[in-house]
Amino acid sequence: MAEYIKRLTHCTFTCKDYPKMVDFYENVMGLEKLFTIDYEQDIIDGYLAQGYPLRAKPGDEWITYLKIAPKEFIELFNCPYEGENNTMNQEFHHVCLVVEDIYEAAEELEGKGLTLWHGPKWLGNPFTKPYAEEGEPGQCGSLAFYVQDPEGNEIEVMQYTENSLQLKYDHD
Amino acid sequence: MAIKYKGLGHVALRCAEKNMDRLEAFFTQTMGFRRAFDLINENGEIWIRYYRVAPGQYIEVLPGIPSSPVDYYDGTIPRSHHSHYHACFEVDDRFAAVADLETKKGLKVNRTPDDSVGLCKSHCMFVNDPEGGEWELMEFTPQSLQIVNDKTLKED
Repeated sequence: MAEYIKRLTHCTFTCKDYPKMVDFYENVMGLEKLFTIDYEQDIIDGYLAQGYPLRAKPGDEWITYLKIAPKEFIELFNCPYEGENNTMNQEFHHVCLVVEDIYEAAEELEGKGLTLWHGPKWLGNPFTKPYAEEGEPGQCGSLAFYVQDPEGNEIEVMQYTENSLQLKYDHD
Repeated sequence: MAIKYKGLGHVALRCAEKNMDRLEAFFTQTMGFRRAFDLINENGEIWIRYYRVAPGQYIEVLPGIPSSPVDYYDGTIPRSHHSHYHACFEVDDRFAAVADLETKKGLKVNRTPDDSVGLCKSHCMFVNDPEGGEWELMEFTPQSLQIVNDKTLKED
């Protein structure tokens, strides 16, 4: 690793329904809402130049940071995108949040009304109780399920195990 | 009961098939991440390749193999039609990053000309991978909103 790179620190999503996305990551996923930033005119001009259909004005809320862990965040932009967020035809595939207890997380999210999936939703394999049978470790040795945020972005929730390749190969 | 999160584990990417070699060169030779391990599908093809970024953190690349078309994308839809905007690496020396990435390796690093911080009080720079995906490089300052608003970091 280049010595100056310390970590993955955030993953950012633009939002067609910003309040709904903030509510999802804060109140469903349970991430701490850490701070917000408001628009300034040059920021608005930048998005318009990139083709975003933005109607914000200076002083409107632009960004919310939600904390996963110290220095690790989900960042949400109050900036709508033009298309339908075709999650199967873009470079971004999914983002993964690591938890201490996958079954506790599954109970929590299913209890809040989310459907859980074994792999991305497009594979069509629901992740259902009893999680212990459905949630056998994947080829990487970790336990995981997927949920989708309100814009359709795939979120993998993962627990490392003693057999996780992510831990076996976790060295320079 | 609140979910106990440990961190941001990985960001997974599709790769237009013809660009796998270029994307691998970007993450290994340019960004300096080590190729960690592969997951192999039933046809003996690489399903997912992992690059290690930091302890417990990886970039996953799905190479876009023909037998797994859902992991392939054609690159025709512009960024402004997607929700995902970018992901970000923390750097602790932005000058070393520019010297290595731009001066030594020829990767354009977009940054403020006067070395000013962004509205979040952090230094923000941007590079693009060979697929066009944007990556932010962020150096925190003592005034960074990402730091001062985190009660657990007060002792830092």
